[in-house]
Amino acid sequence: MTNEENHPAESFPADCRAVAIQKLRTELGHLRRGQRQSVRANGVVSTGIAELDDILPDRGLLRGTLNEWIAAEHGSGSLTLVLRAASQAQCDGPLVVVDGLRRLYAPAMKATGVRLEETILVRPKSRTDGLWAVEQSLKCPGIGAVLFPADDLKTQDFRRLQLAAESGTAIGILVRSMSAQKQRGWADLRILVTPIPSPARLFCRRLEVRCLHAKGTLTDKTVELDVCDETGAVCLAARLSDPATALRPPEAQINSVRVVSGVGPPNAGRDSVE
Amino acid sequence: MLYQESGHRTQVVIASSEAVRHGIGSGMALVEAQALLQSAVFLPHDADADRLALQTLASVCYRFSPQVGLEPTENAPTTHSLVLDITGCTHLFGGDSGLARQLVIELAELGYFAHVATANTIGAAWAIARYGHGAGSARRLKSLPVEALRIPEKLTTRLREFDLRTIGQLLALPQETLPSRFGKVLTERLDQMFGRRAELLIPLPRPEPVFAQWAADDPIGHPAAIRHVCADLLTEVLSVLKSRGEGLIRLTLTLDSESTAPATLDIGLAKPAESATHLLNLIQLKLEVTSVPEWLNAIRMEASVTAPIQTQQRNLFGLQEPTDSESVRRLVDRLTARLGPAAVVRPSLLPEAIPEQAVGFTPLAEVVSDAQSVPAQAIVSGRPLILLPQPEPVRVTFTDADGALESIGWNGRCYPIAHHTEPERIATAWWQETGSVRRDYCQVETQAGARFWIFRDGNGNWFLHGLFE
Repeated sequence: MTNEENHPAESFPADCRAVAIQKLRTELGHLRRGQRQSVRANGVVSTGIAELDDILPDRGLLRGTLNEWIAAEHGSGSLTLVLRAASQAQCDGPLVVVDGLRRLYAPAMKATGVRLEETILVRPKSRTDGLWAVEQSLKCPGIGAVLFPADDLKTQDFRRLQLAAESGTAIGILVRSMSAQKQRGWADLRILVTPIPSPARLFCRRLEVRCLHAKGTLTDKTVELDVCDETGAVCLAARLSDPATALRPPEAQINSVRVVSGVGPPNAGRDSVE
Repeated sequence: MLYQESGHRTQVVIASSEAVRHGIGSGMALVEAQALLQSAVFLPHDADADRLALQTLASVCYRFSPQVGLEPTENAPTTHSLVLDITGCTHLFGGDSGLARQLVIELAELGYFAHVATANTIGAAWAIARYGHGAGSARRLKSLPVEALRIPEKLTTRLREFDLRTIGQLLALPQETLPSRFGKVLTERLDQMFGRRAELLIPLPRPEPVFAQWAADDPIGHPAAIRHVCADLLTEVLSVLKSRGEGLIRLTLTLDSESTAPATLDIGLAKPAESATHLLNLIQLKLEVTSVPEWLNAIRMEASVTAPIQTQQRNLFGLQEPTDSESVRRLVDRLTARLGPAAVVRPSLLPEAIPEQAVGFTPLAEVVSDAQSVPAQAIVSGRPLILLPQPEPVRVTFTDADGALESIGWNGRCYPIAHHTEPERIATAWWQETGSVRRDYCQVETQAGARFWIFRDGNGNWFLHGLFE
């Protein structure tokens, strides 16, 4: 056996290989965009927050897909946004919440807009039962959304849930901790929620929401939101109205805006300045 | 409007409320009714079909009373009512009104709008259900019209000729003169209504229990064999139920073995089901999570609870695709069969001060309808989305200057506090069975922006109870 037969790739010049790889990338991009178009036919459900919709490629969550929401740390406020989005999906069918740890608190869920009378709360005793319940719920045609806190999810299980989501019309929502960011997943959309120290105002918190990945599109947009726990109102973070920021010298304000712009694409900075 | 031929005359039997408003009543000639309301729909009355439907509904009512009968029909051509003897049953449903409410909900599930009344006699209950409302007190009964006495229409017309319009007016007359003036029927009905004369409730025969069983000398143990036997038994049970127009609400499967004690499996459904495939899937799920004897000599399948099934119009091409609500119902059945009724629930808010007691969970298998849904409760703001099952102790430090909260230590980490809310006291009375609880809760926001719900108990110890995720 010749050396060329052992290493066929080396027989091609480096520039040809790069062209071939680029060609494959382009074809894969076309394929994924096509898949996204077909999934979009199932319908898009708004998250209930216009500013958040703006950073998502389809201006909402696609039905029949898995969406991964990653909380940067404990008490970050990601679940507030998730439940708000899930309550929007209740227009299409009941919300299934698979809560194996039995920690979700119904009065707070109701405060986010979730209709408890249209909620199916599943409290499995084991992880296997929990995954089975999620899979069954995702496949069921009449379900609006399925919410599942899942930190330890194996790749095979992830793929299993993705296939189940594709076969149904529900929005699959996985709520995960920061450790999941390192794992490569099968989710259609990956969103990271990070709390930001807010001005000293009671019942109000500031969250940075970043769309890390959306299958079939190139996106990396960020938005900062102010969430009022008392009224439930969510709006774009008003940075300039923050007295602490307003008191800083002008150069510091410009630096602050530049930092935000550097995190995401150009329009993320524009959102923050507004 | 429904009509029927009576001798040489065709007359209206039942008129809708709108027709009554146009002056049409039962007993009126059909031609006259058609002249009064030409736009109405006139259909021939099928008394036998009505009676059959009532008998089917009686099977639902056995849940509320062991004695269910049809309305006695000595003087009426048709029967439209069911009579239940609820003596000794009401406490199971929270009293008379609780039973009546649940019965109305149950019948509404089947598509019927029922008038239900509870009273001491059949006559009083019938009168209140048709012509009144509320409890059957003597005063209320006296205010009802004479038609509420279940007397022939000819007699009511005659009474009205004498300007006797209410039962109270009849009772004011010397009672001994009534039979000679209006016949024995009137006195008899009055006596029955006020309990002076007994009236028998003739119960309908209860349907025979539906079951099927298999037994063999050679035991079976392979799952496929058990599934095959179950499929056969299920077909047998469903064919009997189909002839009765009923579906399964609860199925009991008894698995007998010579070597070990028999195992019993109960499969409950949210609504009456008749689909063999769906039921067989549920049996399969239940068998997977239940420890059954290794070798089975006999299997008995019994339809423990049945109910009339709602008939659904077939579509043009005869396809039987389940609707979305049907799919969700089947999902609930599947989840319940594998995980158990306590694991598939609907949360509801309870008027309790202690946070962990402010939520109730109703198994979805027991939720009869959406009418039994969550009662409206005021939304309490400032509650965390994650409530720990048990409050976890935290280490709290305070600033030297003003004694404000400085940091909390939890889960091996120290969280410096940026700001916190004023304490909110949650306390219960000392006479409660669970003992007095006094907690001062506050929300704390860490310098990183995370938010926790902590409290200090009566002994000054600090606990983390929730996370504002």
